[in-house]
Amino acid sequence: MMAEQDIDQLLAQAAVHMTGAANSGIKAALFEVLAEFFTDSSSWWETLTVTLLPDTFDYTLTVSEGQVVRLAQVTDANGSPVAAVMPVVGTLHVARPPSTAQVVYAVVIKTVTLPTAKQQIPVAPDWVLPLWHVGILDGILGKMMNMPAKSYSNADKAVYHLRRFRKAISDARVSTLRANTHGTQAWRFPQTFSSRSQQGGVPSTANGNERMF
Amino acid sequence: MPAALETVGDYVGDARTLLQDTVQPYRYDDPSLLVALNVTLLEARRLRADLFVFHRHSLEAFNAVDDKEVRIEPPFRLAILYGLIGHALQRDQEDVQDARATAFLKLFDDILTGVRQTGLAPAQGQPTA
Repeated sequence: MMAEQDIDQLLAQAAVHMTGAANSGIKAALFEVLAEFFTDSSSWWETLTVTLLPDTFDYTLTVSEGQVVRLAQVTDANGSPVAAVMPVVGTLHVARPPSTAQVVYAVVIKTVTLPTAKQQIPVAPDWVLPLWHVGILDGILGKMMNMPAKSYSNADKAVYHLRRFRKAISDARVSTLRANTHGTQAWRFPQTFSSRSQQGGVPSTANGNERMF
Repeated sequence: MPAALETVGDYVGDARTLLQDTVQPYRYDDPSLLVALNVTLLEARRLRADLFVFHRHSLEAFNAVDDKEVRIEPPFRLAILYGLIGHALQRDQEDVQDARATAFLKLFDDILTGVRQTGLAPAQGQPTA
């Protein structure tokens, strides 16, 4: 959950940049900006524990908050890959059910979803604004300045801010892939399962050589 | 200090002050000012949908001068008041009132879509000194 102080600061800064902007409009834009940020950067993820059962292919994935966007990886207790896909968002489909019950760990990428928290603020992780508030503010400004017939409409500045917002998304994606480290190579999900084949489902995801969105 | 312009009664009361219509029997009766408030909200919704983005149901219409809340963010309440007054003044045919109605409606529009208020324009048809 984002801290109230961070949200207040963000809303106030947005209002400073856009005379005549409504708080409700800024909050609505914030939802869209966060949705784009998380969906395209794959920076918000959660590890879910799933118990696989014999002869059962499909399992419902339930996250603590947010909306599942895509499946990043599935591993067993030893860190070995488990071939699985998510053809229906929120439903894990394993290629080969185990012969006995088996616990696996599914990593899912998430984004914001409705309903929002109190005061129409989207539910998002607490680290997003402390780390990425500049980029998030650029996203809000860019999207709102792109709106027609408003006191703060400004097509030129919208281009500028949206370019900076996309840069922030790109930076967040790289930071996530490098597990928020500096001067290291791209972090990868455990590579014991790495596969270049398309037959195994998700194990080849996040190998650093492909787009994740 | 109580917040300004929170309820239907606040809007109608302040509108009567600006309309110089505070003594009964009123020149502008309650139903006519309620209609003015309701159509002003409709126009505000057209111009600034972002003000109503979290209103779950269709736009509210008010049918009594009471303490029912008019859900408008504080910085935009003056616009609603001016729009209400402008609409009410439009029913008069006097030249001066026409100019005042136009001025109030322009203020309504300026607050919602512009950066600065232009202020009330000088009334037309006034005798010059």
